Amino acid sequence: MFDFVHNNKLALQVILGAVALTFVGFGVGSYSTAVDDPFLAKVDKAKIYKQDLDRVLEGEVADAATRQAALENLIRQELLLAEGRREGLTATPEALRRAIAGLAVLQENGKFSEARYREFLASRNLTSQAFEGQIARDMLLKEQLLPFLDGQFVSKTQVEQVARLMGETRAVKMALFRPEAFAAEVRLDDAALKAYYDANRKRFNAPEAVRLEYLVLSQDAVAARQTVSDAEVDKYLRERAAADSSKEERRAAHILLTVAPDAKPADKAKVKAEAEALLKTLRADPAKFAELAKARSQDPGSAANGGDLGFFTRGMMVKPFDDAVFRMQPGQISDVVETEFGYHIIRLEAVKSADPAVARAEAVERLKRQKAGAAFRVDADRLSDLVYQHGASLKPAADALGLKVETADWLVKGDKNVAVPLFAHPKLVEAAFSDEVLKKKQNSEPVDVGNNTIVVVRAVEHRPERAQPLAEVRDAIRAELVAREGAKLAEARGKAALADLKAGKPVAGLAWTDAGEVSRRAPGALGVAELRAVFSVPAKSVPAYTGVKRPNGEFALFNVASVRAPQPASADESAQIAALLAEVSANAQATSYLNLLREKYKVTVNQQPAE
Amino acid sequence: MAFDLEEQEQLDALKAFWSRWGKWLAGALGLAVAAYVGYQGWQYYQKQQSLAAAAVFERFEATLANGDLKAVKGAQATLAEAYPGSAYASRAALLAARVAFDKGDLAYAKQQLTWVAERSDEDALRALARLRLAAVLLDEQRYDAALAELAREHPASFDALFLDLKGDVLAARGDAKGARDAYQAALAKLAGESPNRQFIQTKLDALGA
Repeated sequence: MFDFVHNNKLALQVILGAVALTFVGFGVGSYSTAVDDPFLAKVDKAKIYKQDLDRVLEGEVADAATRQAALENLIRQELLLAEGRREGLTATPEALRRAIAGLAVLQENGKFSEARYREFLASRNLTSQAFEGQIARDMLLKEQLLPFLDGQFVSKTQVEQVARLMGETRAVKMALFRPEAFAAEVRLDDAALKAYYDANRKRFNAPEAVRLEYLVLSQDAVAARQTVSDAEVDKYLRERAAADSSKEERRAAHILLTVAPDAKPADKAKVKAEAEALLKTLRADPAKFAELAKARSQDPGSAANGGDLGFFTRGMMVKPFDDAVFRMQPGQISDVVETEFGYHIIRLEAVKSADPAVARAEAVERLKRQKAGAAFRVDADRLSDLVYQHGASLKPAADALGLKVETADWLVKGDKNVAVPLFAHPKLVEAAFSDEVLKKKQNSEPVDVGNNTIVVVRAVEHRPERAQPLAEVRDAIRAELVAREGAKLAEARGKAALADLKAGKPVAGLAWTDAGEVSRRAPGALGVAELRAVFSVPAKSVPAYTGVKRPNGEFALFNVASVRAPQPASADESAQIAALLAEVSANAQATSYLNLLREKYKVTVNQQPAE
Repeated sequence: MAFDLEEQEQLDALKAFWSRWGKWLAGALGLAVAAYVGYQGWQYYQKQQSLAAAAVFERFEATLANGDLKAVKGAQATLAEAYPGSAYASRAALLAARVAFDKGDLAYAKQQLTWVAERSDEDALRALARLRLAAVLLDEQRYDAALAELAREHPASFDALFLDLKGDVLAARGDAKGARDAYQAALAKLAGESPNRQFIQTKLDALGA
């Protein structure tokens, strides 16, 4: 029953979701630079370009319906913006600053960081102007939606009305008339089958199919072929030792002299001097570290263990501490290190490296992949040339590149259940059924199926779409017709039975099952149409009979035995219903507003956003 | 000589033209400059007014977070007094009405909604205010007053919403037939696949065919 809430939610989230999205996943680049680019749509003075759509879709490949919906959403946004600007809604510079400073991605330790901001802009190839314009746009959209969301409320009377609707329960028995039960009564002669076959001939055609052979060139396969010498691995491991220290575990002990976060510089200097004195003692007699840690360290967790912190990996400690520990040699005692906690003196106890065998195997893998990158590109170019020059066979390319020509089973056009997952790729299917492959009988162009994998196909055998003779599809037609005619009979018998029951006449042979107590809130096994039928019976005429045709062709007969009036809704239930209704209203009102704006501003849709 | 003569003639024609039209031309140019400057000035003034109203609205929004109705009322009064014609004043009034409704201050809620319904220059906001005003009146069981609000002029795209609420008011008053008619009219006005359809249909079904 509350499907409508779900649907409503969706429509509103389309607008709101998009606003939230630009805040988190701001795409690469923005605002078309090519001004004379053909635009997709124009709303008042604002143009929506293909780039804008791609940005919303975050570079994902999307089907036509998704792209259409995304474009529609951009149009809605532009309508809201056009009206907002016209009415004088605007983001003040202070509000804009605050909004940007509040973005978590631009913060470091909970505070806005100028460096982070610059880094963020650079990584996305954005000017600060473009980014700020985008944020200002989002703020304006939010302001435009305020009256619909934050200004929304629902009258208590309406909440009670809905609570009553949801709470009423009815005890129901059901009897089904199934199409199968009437199959024996369906009279089908050859003329009827032939007529149905003729009328639906196209549907009974066997679709076009092709049997393919193909070559796959993948970077993974190229990588497996690469050889890596021990010397290369050793060199790699040496160079990467520092970078790979993330896997390495180190055990350290420390002595901490704490400094309050709000300490005055003079107090800090005093603590630092103490630390320096302590360090001097330790340099003179390193063996006293544990003893001094017990006596002096203000880290309650480690002092009792002589300052020992146990093993930890890189990044687990605060940065200055981390940096110091991972620079040190075992046994070494650090200088005084300052962190947000105070002053530390650290001794590195032990280093536990990653398993050397594992590290080596990983290094080999990585080196092979590195080498394969270049080799793969070379091979891809050669493949492209070879399959074009020797257009009538895949063998020369396969021999030259050490690939194997593989054969595939029949690929049927429009069939979603392909045996080899590779052939579910739309670009590959397109190539397999292209004129180049089917008519000219040439190799296809190399198709990039993603994941650094390139495929070339050629047709071994082609089977055009063809009509199937009646004899071949006779059974399928018969089944369809029996189902259709059976449903008609089920409906007719059901309605006749219903009429008899309503007139008080007994009906023999009905198999009543107890469907229990149902309500709009808990419809049990009843679908939308059945629920409507059951609850459309006026309460005062219960017990009563009703019936409705189900989407699967069955006819359902209902005996509404009794009605139980709704209990008054609890405070929780009322609040829940109020929230749902507010959402429903917000959406309905926002939709009305958008319809109004659509009449007010000129919207031109220039191109379908399919590609 | 002929050449000079021709030149002289042209010069004379020009002089005559200038003495006849010069004043007008200069005047027209002056007017155009004045109009342009005036327009730019007006735009600038508008922009400044918008920014000022936006700043006051931000302070109003800050009071919403606390949910202190008194503070909300104060901030709203400041905004409505200083920038009554701004888009922000109407928006703030709608938000303030909601806070008041939640706190049970129906009189203030109605006052703010009435203000928007009568003063806003945005058709859609006026329609929103009337819908919400009717909802408050429905809770007060002032059915005639609620129906009167719903009978006011509003944009056609809001028709279904006005009729739907009219059905709710009539149903609350016990006028099942009137409610049925209103819900049916609302359904007829709904655009195609509106998600509201099922909800209104359910309310209609509940009234008995």
